[in-house]
Amino acid sequence: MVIVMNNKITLMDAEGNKYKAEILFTHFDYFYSKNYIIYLIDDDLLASSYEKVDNKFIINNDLTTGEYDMLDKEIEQRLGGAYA
Amino acid sequence: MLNLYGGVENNQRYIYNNKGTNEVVSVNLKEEDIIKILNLLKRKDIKKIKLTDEYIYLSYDDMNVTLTEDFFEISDKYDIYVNDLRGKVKKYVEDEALKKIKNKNTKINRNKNKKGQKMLVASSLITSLLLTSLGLSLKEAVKKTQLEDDDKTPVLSDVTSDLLEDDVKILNDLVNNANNKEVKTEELGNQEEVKPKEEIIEEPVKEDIMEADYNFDYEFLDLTKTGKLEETKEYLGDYIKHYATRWGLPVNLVMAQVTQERPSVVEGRIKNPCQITEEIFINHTFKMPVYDEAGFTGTYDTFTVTKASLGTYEGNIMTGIAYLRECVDSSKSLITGLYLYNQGEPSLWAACGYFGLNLSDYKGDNMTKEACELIKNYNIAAHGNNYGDYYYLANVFQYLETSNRGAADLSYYLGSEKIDININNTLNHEVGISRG
Repeated sequence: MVIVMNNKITLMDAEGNKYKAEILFTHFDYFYSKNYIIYLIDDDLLASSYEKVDNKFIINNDLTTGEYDMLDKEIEQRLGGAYA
Repeated sequence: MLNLYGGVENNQRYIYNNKGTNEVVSVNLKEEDIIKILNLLKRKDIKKIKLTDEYIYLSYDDMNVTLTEDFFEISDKYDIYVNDLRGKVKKYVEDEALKKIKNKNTKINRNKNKKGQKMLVASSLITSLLLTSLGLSLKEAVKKTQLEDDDKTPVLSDVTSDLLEDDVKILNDLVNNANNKEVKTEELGNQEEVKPKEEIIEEPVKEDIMEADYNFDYEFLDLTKTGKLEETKEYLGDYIKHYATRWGLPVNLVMAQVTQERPSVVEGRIKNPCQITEEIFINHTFKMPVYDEAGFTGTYDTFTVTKASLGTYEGNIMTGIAYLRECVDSSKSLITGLYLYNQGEPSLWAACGYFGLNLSDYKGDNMTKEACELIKNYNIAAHGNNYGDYYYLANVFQYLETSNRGAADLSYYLGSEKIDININNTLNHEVGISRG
């Protein structure tokens, strides 16, 4: 199987700084009622919640410890599923 | 090798069959063909996926498909089919992306995750495909998102990028809105807590209660005395009794459902009583388990829906009940199945895929309320507020014949198991046309 992906995106902070990121996956968590995006920037695994405003996606890095724990667990589960 | 090309024109999805090799000869397919192809796309194993900013190419054993980016946007009557395809593509893409962190540290780098910072995503095919294919109603998400403290609010500086000026404005507006929302939240927090209105629920009469496997409390009006239910019995009752009983479903619930579904009697006829969508069901073959007093007989009724059969009361009722039977079987729940009849049989499956949940966790009569809420949230997020009837259960139950205390005892078969369900009307009987 060959899959060519184009999941490189540009993120821009409030001061206009831009960052190249690569989306790994998105996740909706029913408990927190939020959408999350998991992505890589320079080999660092990062996560944010996101929402859509005026057809633009805004991400928010301000996550609670519970949200980080939940997302770490989600990554672990997905890695298990992807290679099971 | 079949070469298909899909796109959007005038807010309608289309699929062309490109038969030419050297020259393009496009044939606009009929609606039923499009539905068949969309079903085919989601079911077959995809050999190859290629994504660009404008197109997605899918390669199968015997066909190649090119779909434009906007084909995946939520827009028209094919959404329910496209959602499944989108979920399949998304899983492929995400599984491949996750390989990048295989054998690496798989914990989120919390220190580098800049706390309190908002950023904006420049959209492309894959971002819109991934981001929009998940998520509860974004309004819900916004409502529950914790807002930033004032001292964490980023100060926006002038940005000269011609491409991103508008984006910065949106981000700026968002931050300002967030601050405004926080003020309102604090103001509300200073007010006295408003106590919820006490609900008046009738105490159940012990001798009336069937020892059911599952009990459900719902609020619904009682419209059984308006004449519509009696009319249903008069015109369609015999067919409903026969096929509901034969295929293991509760007669009184199906009677109520058809009463809710059917249009008025016009010139002595009820047109399409089960509101069957012809293009979906014509040529569909049902295989229905047959039950009698002793339970499952081990035999099946098989029939294929035709345009002619849908035009008869019997054929229409057969199709409606058979579809309800399929919905019940797929959700392993009588009431969830009833809701799926209105929201679309694949909705529970699609909702779980959409929200990243385990489908098996939402099957069964014990999960009815959670499953129906999930289906509703999914269809609102995916299709908007006008998709189907989100109050379908209450609208069906209002024609359900109940006891004096407002309860209905329903029995149905799931496989070879008989299940008893008790529906309790918790609405104060003074409301609506009560038979109290």
